[in-house]
Amino acid sequence: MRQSVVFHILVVILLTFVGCESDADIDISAERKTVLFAFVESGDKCMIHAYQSIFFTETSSKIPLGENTTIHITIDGKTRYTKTMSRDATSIEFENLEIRPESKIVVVIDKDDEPSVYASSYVPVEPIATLLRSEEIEKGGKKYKNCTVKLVDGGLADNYYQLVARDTKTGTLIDDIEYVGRIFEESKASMINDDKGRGLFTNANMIGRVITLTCNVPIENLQGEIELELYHMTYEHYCYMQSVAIHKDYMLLPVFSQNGVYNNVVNGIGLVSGVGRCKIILP
Amino acid sequence: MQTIHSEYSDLFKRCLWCLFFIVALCFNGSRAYSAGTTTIDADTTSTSIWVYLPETKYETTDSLIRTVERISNLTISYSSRVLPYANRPIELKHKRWQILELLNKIFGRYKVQYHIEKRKVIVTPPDGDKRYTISGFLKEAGSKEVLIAANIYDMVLLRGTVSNEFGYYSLTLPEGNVPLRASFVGYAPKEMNIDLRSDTTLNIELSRYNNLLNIEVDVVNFEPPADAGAGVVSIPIQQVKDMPSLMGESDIIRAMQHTPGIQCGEEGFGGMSVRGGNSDQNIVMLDNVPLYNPMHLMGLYTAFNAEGINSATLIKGGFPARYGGRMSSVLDIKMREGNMHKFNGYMNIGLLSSNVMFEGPIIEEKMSFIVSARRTYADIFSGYMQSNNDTRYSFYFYDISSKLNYIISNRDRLYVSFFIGSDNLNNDYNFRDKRIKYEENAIRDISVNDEQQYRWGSIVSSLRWNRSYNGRIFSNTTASFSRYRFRNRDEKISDERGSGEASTSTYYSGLNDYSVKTDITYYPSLLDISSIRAGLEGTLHAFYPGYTMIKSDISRGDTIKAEKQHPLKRVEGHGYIETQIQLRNVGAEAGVHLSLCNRKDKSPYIQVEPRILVTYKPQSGITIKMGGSCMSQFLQQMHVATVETPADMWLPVSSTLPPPRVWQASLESEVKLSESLKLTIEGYRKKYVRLQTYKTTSGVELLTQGDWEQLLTSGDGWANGVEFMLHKTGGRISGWLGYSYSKAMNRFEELNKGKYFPTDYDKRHAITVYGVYSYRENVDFSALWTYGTGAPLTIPSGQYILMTDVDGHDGENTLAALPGERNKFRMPDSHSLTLGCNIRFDKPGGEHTLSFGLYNVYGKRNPMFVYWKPQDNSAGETIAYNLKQFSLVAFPLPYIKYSFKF
Repeated sequence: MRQSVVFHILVVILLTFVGCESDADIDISAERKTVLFAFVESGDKCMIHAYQSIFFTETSSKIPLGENTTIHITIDGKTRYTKTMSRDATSIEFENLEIRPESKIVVVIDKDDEPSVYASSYVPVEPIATLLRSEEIEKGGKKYKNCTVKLVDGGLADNYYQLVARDTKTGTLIDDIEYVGRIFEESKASMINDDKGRGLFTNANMIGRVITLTCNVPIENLQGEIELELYHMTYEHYCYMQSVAIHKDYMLLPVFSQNGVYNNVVNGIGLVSGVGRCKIILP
Repeated sequence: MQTIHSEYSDLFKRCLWCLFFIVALCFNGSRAYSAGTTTIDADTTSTSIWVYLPETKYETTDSLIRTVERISNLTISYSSRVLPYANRPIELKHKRWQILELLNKIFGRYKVQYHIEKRKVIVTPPDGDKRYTISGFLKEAGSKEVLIAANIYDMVLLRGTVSNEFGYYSLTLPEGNVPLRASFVGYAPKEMNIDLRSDTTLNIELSRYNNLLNIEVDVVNFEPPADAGAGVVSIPIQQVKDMPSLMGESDIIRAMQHTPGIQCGEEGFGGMSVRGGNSDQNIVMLDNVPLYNPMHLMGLYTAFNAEGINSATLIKGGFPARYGGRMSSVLDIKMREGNMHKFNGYMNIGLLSSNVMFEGPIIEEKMSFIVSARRTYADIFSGYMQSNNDTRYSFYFYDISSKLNYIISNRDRLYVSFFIGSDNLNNDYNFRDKRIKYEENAIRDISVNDEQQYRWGSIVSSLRWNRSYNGRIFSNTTASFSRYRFRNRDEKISDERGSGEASTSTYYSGLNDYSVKTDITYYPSLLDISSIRAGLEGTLHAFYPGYTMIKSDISRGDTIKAEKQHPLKRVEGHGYIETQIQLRNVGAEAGVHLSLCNRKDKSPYIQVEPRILVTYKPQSGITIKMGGSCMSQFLQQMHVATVETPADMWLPVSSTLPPPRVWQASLESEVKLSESLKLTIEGYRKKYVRLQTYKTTSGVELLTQGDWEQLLTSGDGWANGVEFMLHKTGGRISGWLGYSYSKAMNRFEELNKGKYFPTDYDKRHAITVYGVYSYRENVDFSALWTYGTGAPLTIPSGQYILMTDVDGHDGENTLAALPGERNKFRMPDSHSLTLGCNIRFDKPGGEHTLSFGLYNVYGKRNPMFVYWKPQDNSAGETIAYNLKQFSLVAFPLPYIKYSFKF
């Protein structure tokens, strides 16, 4: 995979000079932060993920927030729902909510006397998309489902979207989708890697118009059916997904080590965002 | 935090008191020297008073007058017009004087009038005295290269001036016989008598000393009224060439970074930081045109070839009103103009690069040229070493500068300058034909060409016209173009029996400047006002904040052509007026700079920036300077990584991001301890408003997001510090000892909980010891030791699992770094020693110089950057992370360079 420009430059510098790696004598005092993730759709349910970050010296896993952790959800500044997390839980589901498109939501975590961890967002309307065409193709020795979807943009404002595919049996997102067309290229997260943009795009220059989307979904390892999902995202969600792609490439490159993923959580880290979803099951 | 701030303020105040204390000691010393006892034998008639003086030598003329007043019981009244330099030393031939004879001695050549009433003597200038102007150029004999900041003065009146950036001077003096003296460091002074009866044009040529050891000290203690301002760093180019350095490359900016108040990134990487400011707060002017990328190899080397430079001056405080557009410093570099008399050349061969320079007349005494060029050759060796690899890397940089100088007439001159500097990095993957086995018994030949090119660099060109009007008005008009561009080109071509795929994508960022400006300097005939200068400038900036162009993509059956990318355009205007005033032992430079920049859909930003510098010379050898300035800028460079990279972007101000602004106050005391030893102590305080930085990351998202304004946040900051410099020039041992204590803090509401935190260049202590020992006339040894506090550091303090699936599945088990507080930690301190030696041989045909030395003599592993390194188990799984540091030069690195001048 192609590396970053700076990485290449550093390689040359290393060739030119006599570089040396050694242990750094710096006292890094570690800290934990509360991690909060929630993708809120219109309906009556909402899953909140809340846990603690870990130190670099720990193996990767989620650490529960522990006892006395309460989660509050406020919808449109009026209705407030509260639940207490169990000691070992890292997520909690709220039910019997009344979340409508364009509702404003606030998620708050309170624990003991610590400052509240909170974030707010709104729920975008569900996108209107229909399947135009779907056929099986072979490319480079691999089999794909070539799909074309028509999306009618809501218009009036900048809209942010993502097209993904899910295996209906496993429930997981399908990797290595080939997104075809300039609309995906222009939203590509990084100009210096091979990331295909993760299906992100905007309605730039196409506000209120019909947008045609094409992708090739690999089907060789498929266990169930293919479900195309089109998300209408908030700007924060779009920035977050882009920064995730960048972060994957840059996290451990020395000169980019301070870069983080987009965050809209106050006194913590993570993302709370509304999302509008449209599902299309391929024949 | 408030307590820390308060403690630091106290420390700063104490340092300032120390500064005053030192100055006060000097004053007390002078009083003790001038006090004395004597007898008086005076006739009570006013015209025949005789005075017996206690001494024949006086540190200042003023102290002699005060002594005469005291012992003769006379009151002597005079204005600065008849004695403009009362702080000059004076030596008498004997102690017994008749009062009028003594007054004539004191007031010199002036045709003054004395009005004596009882015990009071009033000294006035004669009625209707005439003054005339001497003007012209100061040049080097032989080459006719102009001398910038050379002195020219009346040896009796001790009234003089310095030549401007074009070598031009203008001096107005009373009519009569004028004993003039012209002098410049490293050149033999020249004395001449001028019978001044009308305005006169006088071009003066000075000869360079061949042997620096035998330089005679300029015995006339002239200190020009237009003395260098506060916070000015100027290192002679020859000293830059002789300084030991990494790989032996002469480097003007690196040399300046070894003086107090100027710093660079870790291990020499990154740009220049002046008094805690970011590198984009410095403007580098090449012949008055801004140069946006003055460095090669990510900041390791300066893009200027020292052989083509006439002078380089860095101003870090007390800014004249003529400068604007940046907040921290002005580095003013003047290229040489070329020898008007004969062809010369220079070449050197070093480990990293080779230089050549040619200069000479095109039309003798009328038109000359100079061309210098440099190129590295690491790519040649690396290409040979990688000849059998599938993947090849190559890197080189080069720079070319040239200048044409045409004397149209005695009054008019034309200059055409051009500079280009470029770094080039190429990566070629799988550049050979390959035989690929697709299926059983199916082997196909495939031709794959896959390469990446990275290029970045600057182009500067200018056309300038100088004109002198009647000796008292000098104008300079410049039309210029400046460009910086970073470009990344990806090309993938594969061909399989005529069918295949090809795609080319190009990413670029940078900016173009188109500029016109004019400066007019008026030299009035008034004794108290040396010059009045005013100017106007207009610049059109065209910013390209990261554009990708995909030209073709055959693989998917379609061809995509990029649309024309429109730059962000801003118009920036500047205007100023400044004057230099000299009143006895007090001088002042005052002015105002007005700058403006348009913005979309709103009225333009307008910044009014007052500037003042007051110079007080209580006695010979001591100068106190107080400066105040306000500076702002309409563009900034945002970094995409923790070190400066060529992909960093210049971005303009916008309606949501107003221009940052800084106020700076400085106080400097300069004490001349001997003819060759000078101590400078300077304190400063800066207050920033509307600074901008990234909200949460270091800015790699700049490479991807067009909406860069959303990534930035505004805040404020301050910086203050004290700088000491003991500088010895001339003699067998020369060099300097420099120390600076500085602190620079920023505050942004969205970072570090809104608290103040150290800036990226907040290096508290910096020490430099640089010495040159001239063993023989042609052999010198030099040593350079530097120490610096580690730079502030932002590093992830933990990690967390991301969630990218809206259904709640973990994001491919992706771990993200947990951003720590901005600049919470600090790198280890760094220090290193570099030794060098220069041996010169004068052989027929020219001067040969062999330079060699050792960088990082005791092998100190100074950190360039630190990072978390994954520690994997045998199965390739990461089990832990360790904090590592990377050192660029971890053990002694020798250098050798040969140069030849003909």
